Amino acid sequence: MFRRLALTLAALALTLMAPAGRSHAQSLEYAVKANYLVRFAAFVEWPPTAFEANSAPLIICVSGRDPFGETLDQAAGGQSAHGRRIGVRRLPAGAAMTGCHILYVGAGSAAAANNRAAVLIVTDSAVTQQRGMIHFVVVSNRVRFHIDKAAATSSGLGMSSRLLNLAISVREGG
Amino acid sequence: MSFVAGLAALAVVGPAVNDAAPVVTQAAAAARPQDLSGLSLEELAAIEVTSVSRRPEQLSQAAAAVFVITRDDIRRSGAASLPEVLRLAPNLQVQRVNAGDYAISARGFNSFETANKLLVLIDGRSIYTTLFSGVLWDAQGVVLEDIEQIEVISGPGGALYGSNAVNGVINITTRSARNTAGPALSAGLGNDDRTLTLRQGGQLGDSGAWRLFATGFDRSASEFETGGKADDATAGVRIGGRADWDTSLGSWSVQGDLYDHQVLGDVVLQGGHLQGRWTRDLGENGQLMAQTYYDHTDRVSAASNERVSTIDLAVQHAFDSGSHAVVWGGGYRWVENSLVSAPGSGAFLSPEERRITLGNLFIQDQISLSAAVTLTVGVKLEDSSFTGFEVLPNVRLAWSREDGSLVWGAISRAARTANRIDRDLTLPGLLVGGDFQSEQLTAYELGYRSQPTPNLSFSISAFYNDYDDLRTLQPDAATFIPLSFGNGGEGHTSGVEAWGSYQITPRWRLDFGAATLDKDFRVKADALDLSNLASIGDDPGWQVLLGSKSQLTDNLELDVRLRAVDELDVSHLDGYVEADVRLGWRFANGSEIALTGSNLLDDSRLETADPTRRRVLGRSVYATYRAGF
Repeated sequence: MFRRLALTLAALALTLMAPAGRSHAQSLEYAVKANYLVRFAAFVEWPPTAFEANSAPLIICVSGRDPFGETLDQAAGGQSAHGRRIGVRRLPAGAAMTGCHILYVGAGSAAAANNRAAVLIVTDSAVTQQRGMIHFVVVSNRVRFHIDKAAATSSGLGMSSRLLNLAISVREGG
Repeated sequence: MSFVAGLAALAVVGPAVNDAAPVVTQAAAAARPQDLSGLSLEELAAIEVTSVSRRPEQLSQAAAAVFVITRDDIRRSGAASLPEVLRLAPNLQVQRVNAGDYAISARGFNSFETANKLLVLIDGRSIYTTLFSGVLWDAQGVVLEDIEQIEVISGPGGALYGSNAVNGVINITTRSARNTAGPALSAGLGNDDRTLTLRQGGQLGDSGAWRLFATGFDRSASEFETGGKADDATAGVRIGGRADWDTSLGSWSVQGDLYDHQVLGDVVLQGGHLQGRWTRDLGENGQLMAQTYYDHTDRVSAASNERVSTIDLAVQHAFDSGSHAVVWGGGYRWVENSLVSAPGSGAFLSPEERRITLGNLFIQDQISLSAAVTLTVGVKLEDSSFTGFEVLPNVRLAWSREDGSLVWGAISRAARTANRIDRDLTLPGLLVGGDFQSEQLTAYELGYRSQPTPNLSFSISAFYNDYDDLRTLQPDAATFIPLSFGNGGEGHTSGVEAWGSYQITPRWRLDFGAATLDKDFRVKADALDLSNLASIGDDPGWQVLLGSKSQLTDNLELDVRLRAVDELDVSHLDGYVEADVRLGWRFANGSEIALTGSNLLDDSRLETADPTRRRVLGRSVYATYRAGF
């Protein structure tokens, strides 16, 4: 009898001491980032050579660990930019980013630092301090980003002023 | 009729009542999981993503009935004023009284003079008046295009919000100046409303930004019930601005405005406010916030001259420790209120001038009992110079289920402290000031939020509110007259609030909302009331909102909204059904033209029973152009 009570109390104590799983599931941080990835498509211009055909979709790739799960697929579902459907692809480890138009560099992925392909490289301060063309940061509880316009330009990408206006900082060429 | 005399008349006479035991109902609503797929880049940048380690969740993500009005919702409402925007919230009941006056309430007690249990905050600045604890909506004029979001919480606001958060909280947040760079213009022209807003914004150093705005509105008079143009034309101008910047000491924000309104024909409203806020990230030790504001309002009519000056200070500290997320803090408010009635007025406030102070200390701990279950306990200690010390505890429990849904429940206590009308309203020989005490509420709530499929989300909540010490009009024990306000009313309300949205296709969304309200109030056995329990308001038993938002082409938007409101329970004023339609065209550069028709179904309607203030309202058409916002 006493023993059973002691066990119950121990179990209760463990429950109470369990680490806070709290807001992780509810945090909107990655939902916002996923929707950004989809929105970026309309504000970036790719050279025509970046697409195999006029009807080819615009592909968002995720390399390394995927923090989005279904959120990204839902965000991209039914969306289009430049008259192209938006698709999502997860890159297996070591795969080339051929066919990608936007690449989110997840944890454990070797970021393509000296990339010259017409791919919008998006990095995340939660993962790395090495900045891609767009680098997500959380400032005052809001997801914002820095832009490296010089790197985008050298890859043949154009960026709309609306996107640049929203950036916390823009690194110009020179 | 002067404001005070009007209040006095209604307080003494009470609205027409048919039955001895009033039974009322009203509806309210639940929260909508965030669907981000319709948001623009700028809107994404504005979403608060309460990070895992820093701050406790906002109430909006926790155990409460919260409806969020987004920036996009406001734009697509085609509304010309803040109270009209608030019609989007199923958990608010909006009664337009005349051209400029509104009665807005949650979970009952609605009518111009009895909607006194709602806390309305604009960027943390409280805008209810200590005169009668309601909001004088005709003195408000926030630039709608610069609103980031509006959180509408039905139910007691818990420990985090300030005084008067009894039946609900409306929390209006404006955009950071960082999001409002460049020039912007918005203009509207219609049979009811003419508006013009100009804004300019820019960078401030490396990390900061500023904006300045000038805005004006002009609203046509409505009609008398007996026909003919009414006396309630309303117009005004407002200038203001905001700056946000960072230094090594933290983040700073300063904002303010000045306004000059002329309402109800010849009542002049002038005032302004200045507000500063400082937040500092303490890293491991959490976040510190301090805020202060000064607000001044003059309301001058032929019958009275009211001046209110408010100084408010608030400090709060949030930190995490193990499975605890704690917020604690305090605040103090000084209000100098003077109301001078014209000589010979039948009703006046005695004394004419009062200084009211209101202090509070609060602490809230959000405890993660397990990965899925969060217990929130909080208490607020409040001290009013009128009614003394109150202890207001609340307990909330939230269970996040595997499928992403949330089940929550809460028990809270709240109090409405006395205002000047309660204490000081005087009609010589008939009414004198008494020792009116706070009205008390114990609220029980249960709620459920879910997103069963990616395109369907809904929220449903139920409440049972137990009230005590509600305002009554009591005779003198020995001599009958004079009368005074007492706390002889009690009773309860209950209801269900539900809302949700269904994304039929990426370009077409349906929204729905409904709220019900049942009321059962009585005068306590040992009390006498000569006001027919006027303080319980005049509410519909239910209201239903339906909305459709569609993107017809890449540029063309069509919005249709229907609202049905039940008859009012005390006055038996007829219910109504109304429809709003908006057609908007967005140009590639982000500017927009839109045409909105509001209240299209009826030539004329009355939304409220207030016998002296109400006017007849009709259809309106409103064309708008905006660029740069």
